[in-house]
Amino acid sequence: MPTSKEARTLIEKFRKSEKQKSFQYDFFVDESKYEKWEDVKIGQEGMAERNFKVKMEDILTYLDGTFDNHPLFRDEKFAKKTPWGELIAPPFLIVPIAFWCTGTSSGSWIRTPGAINPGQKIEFYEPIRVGDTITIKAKAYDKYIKRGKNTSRTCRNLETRRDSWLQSGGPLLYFQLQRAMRSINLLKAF
Amino acid sequence: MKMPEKVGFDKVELDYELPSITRHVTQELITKNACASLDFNPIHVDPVWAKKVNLFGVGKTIAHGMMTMTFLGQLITDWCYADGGKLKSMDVKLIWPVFPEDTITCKGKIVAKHPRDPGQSFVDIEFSAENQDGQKVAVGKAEVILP
Repeated sequence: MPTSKEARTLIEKFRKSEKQKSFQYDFFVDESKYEKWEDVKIGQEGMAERNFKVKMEDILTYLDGTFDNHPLFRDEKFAKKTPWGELIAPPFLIVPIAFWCTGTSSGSWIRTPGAINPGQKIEFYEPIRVGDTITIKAKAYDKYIKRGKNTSRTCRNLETRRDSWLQSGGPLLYFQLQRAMRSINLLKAF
Repeated sequence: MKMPEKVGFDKVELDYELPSITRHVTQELITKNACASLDFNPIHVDPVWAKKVNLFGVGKTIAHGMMTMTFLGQLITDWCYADGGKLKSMDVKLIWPVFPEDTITCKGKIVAKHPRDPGQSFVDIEFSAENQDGQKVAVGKAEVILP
């Protein structure tokens, strides 16, 4: 069953950025290509199929979609006066980054229609900034059945490289986004 | 408890309650969040589909768990980021669905202080999000580095 006309109408209203407009929002389209719970192999890792180049419009559209008005993330003059000295991205910009980069590659079960998110454990290292190109390496590290539901956990390391760090020998930045996702057969569950 | 002028590790006290935040969730907000997060799972954006599969036995869409988690993160970014505070980690369990027309309130409290080298000291915050009926929808904790 494809995305309903009612849903499509509302989605089209809010797609503003270049990435939002080009992203395939009908998760049913590539459903057959997504990783299934049965296919998840513990320890298997792979790079996400594409990178995320951070633009200011990505940050602004994310802030608008999450009711976040903090000036640190959108007002350069304000940000310069803070200890950060410049604009930084809100911490949870990692969410659209994960969905953009993953596609139908490793960890793609997060796109499975009906998948439910029971929780997250995230470690943050360095804030993301405009101009960063984020890459993701995903690794399946657990799968289990609990209370009749199949659950998978994937660890995603998000990295970027900054020229200033390469010149000074500084560290790469990375996050670990450990996502548990529960896939349920909706027609049987209810 | 009185809020310090600037947030700093030496100034904050145990049991300090962060200023709470409240968000009213509608289908429009959920779909806007889908566009923001690129998570277009039909359980969030498609009321027609949710009714057809009788999602959660009520036949309604649910908000993104990551939206609730983002609101919990805003509890912290609103409180200390302008002063140089920074999230170190978040560990959240999403325990109850959030439906359209729910109102979510996020609250948090400092429960531990970890003194470290300058710039590395952090606090533990226990937080939760609950709906208008007092039902907790998410619980968890965060570690926050404070200047």
